[in-house]
Amino acid sequence: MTYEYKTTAYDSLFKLAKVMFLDSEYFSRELRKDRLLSFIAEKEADKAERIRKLSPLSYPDDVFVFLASYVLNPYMSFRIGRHVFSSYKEMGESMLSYSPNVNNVLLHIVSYQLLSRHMLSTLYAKDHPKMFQQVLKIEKEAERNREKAYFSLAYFLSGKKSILYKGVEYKNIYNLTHYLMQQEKDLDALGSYLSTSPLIEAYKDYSDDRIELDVYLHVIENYDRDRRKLEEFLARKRERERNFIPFSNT
Amino acid sequence: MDGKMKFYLLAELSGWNCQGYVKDERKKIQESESLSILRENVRKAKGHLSGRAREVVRSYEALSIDPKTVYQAFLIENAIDYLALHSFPEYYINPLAIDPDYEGEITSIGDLVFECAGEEKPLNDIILDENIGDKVKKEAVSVQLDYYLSDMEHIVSRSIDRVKKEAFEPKRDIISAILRFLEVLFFILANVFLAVLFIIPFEAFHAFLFQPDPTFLMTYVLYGYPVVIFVFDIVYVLFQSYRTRLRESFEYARRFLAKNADTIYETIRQTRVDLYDYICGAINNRMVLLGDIKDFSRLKDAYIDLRSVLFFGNQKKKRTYRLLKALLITMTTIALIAYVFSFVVYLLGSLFEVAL
Amino acid sequence: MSLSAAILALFPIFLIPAIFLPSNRMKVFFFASLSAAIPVAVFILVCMFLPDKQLLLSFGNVFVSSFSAFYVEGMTFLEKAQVALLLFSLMVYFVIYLVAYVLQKVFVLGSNVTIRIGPNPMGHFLYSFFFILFTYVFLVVFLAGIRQILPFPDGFLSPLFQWLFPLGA
Repeated sequence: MTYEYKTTAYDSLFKLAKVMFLDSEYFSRELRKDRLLSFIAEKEADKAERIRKLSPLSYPDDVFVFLASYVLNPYMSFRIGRHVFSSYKEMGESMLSYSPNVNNVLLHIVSYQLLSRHMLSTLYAKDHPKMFQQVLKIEKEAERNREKAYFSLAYFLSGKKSILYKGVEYKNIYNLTHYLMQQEKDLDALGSYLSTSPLIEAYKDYSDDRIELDVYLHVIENYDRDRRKLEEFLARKRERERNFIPFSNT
Repeated sequence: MDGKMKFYLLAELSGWNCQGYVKDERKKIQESESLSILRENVRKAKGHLSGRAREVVRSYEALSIDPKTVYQAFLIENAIDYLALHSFPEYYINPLAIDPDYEGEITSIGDLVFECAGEEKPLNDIILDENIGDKVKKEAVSVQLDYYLSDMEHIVSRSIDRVKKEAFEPKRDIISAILRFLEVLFFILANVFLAVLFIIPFEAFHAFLFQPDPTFLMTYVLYGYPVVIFVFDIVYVLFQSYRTRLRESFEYARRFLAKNADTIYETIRQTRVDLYDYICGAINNRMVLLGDIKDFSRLKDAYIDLRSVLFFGNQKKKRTYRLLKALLITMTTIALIAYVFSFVVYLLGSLFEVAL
Repeated sequence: MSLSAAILALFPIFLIPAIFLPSNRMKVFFFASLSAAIPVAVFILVCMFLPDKQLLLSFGNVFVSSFSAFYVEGMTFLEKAQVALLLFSLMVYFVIYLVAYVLQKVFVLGSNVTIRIGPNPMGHFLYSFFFILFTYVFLVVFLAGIRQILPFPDGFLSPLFQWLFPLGA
């Protein structure tokens, strides 16, 4: 039995798994239908069963297809949502190339711990335990701040110490700010953005400007927090005075 | 601080010189709402003895609004925001140490800000919050009350130290104690001499009482000296009475502390326990606290007025006190001159048994 | 200047503390003056009012010579004894007063002046009244008793002085 996809007939699960990432929307639907599942079951029933168990879980299409594809072929290189990487370093560099924004598909990597699963699947984790632990740590951070985890992972994998911003690589913050001062018109918006940017937060841990960025983020955090607390307090106070809301025990 | 200043902060920390952007910020900080709130609140906080109130006042007085860099501007503005928030009485009032005569905007312990589950909010809000367990609330209350207790114990120990210092400080207060002793001694000597002038018979001297002769010094002694001493006596008793009146709270506190320091500490500890039980009762029954801000004060209770001990120095700045003191110094000087003059004239006269 | 005028002039010196001193201090001065005044008053009354003034004479036999510096010419033995008695009583008064004052200052706590139990003007008035009685009034009596050795005329209070200590007694 074979499975037909776009004029190609696939008789191997391994080969099919390698192309599924190219059309997540399609395969996400197909993996829930009999035609593909019967094909898989015919080849390896337990794999079909594992995929069946995955389908009720409400994963996004890219993630479902990713997980299903590694059930079918555990040892292939990392591929998701039309992205394929021959190495983790390449993955990191690709993730950084969208900076200061994130790629929504690649964001799933940290949101759903896909990299650690890949490492386990390919037995990479066994040969590189330290790296694996670091990846787990970063994925844990994603529970608190996904975007920061995205950039942390990108920097960790790519090994870069420079900062990428809108397609241009800057050796350090000094160069970045110099360029931005000259090029950007709205420094107000830029300043507000950078002060809470997950890019800066993540970059801090991998750059030579660590101390300066630590200071910067700490000062901004304290400043914003205390300003917010004061404003909230004043708003509550004025509300109470305006409405004279006395407490009562009724 | 707007986004632009945040950008300049990043630039400055990365190595750029951004001092040119600080000048306008200085003016903005000085005219900011936060600073004017802080100024106003500090004025009210000065009358409170609690540690947090004193800390806010101290920090405000140490504040220097003259940033040279963007970084400093941020730190200063952050400090102002922080202090402005913590300068509200909800943050610094200690119910164990509140003045029983306090008539401010805070009327209940429930208005005070407590920290619970990582958030600062009024105690009444904590009591009514369904999302926090009672155990967590009570732990937060206990932590806060421990702080209030240690703050109050610190106030007491400062009072005790202050009293000891007033009694035993070397040099400056020994000199003033000696001066006070000499003052009393002179008062007694001057009046005893006055009595001696008229009680001990001395015909040649007393003759001038009925036939005063301005060419004889004795005349001035018999007529001038009593008048000077009379005025001196009036001023002296007036000043001493007024001074005693001012000092009485302090003197009472000193006598009390000398005998009963342990009692007061024990009372404060018990009050903390009572306050904890009171708040826990409110937590258990989801009842907000009302009108009770002064109910647990131990500042001026059956035992002691700690406030008078700690603010004692201010009494001496009162206008009446200074006026009377100046008058006393003047009269003492005049009386001393009159005493010495009269004593010498009388002594010589009585030694040689002639009128001078 | 008469003795009466001098006595009246002295009154403010006692009145001012009586009015302005806080109640704790007032009580201390009152009890100190009471401690001194009562034994001294008893002693003086007993000496002056026993029949034939036996005690006064006995006192005079012992102490008259000690106060010889104070007497003026023409005083009888009894008058001298009276003056000696009053001067001696004055010394005793001051000693007892001082001891009582120091003891109270050290050992008595007093009541907390900051507790506002309610104003007590009557209490303060009574303490002040008795303080003036045991100090100023005693001074008046003392001066009336030794007026013979003072160089002043009696003045308008002469009938009072004569009633307290008739001259020639």
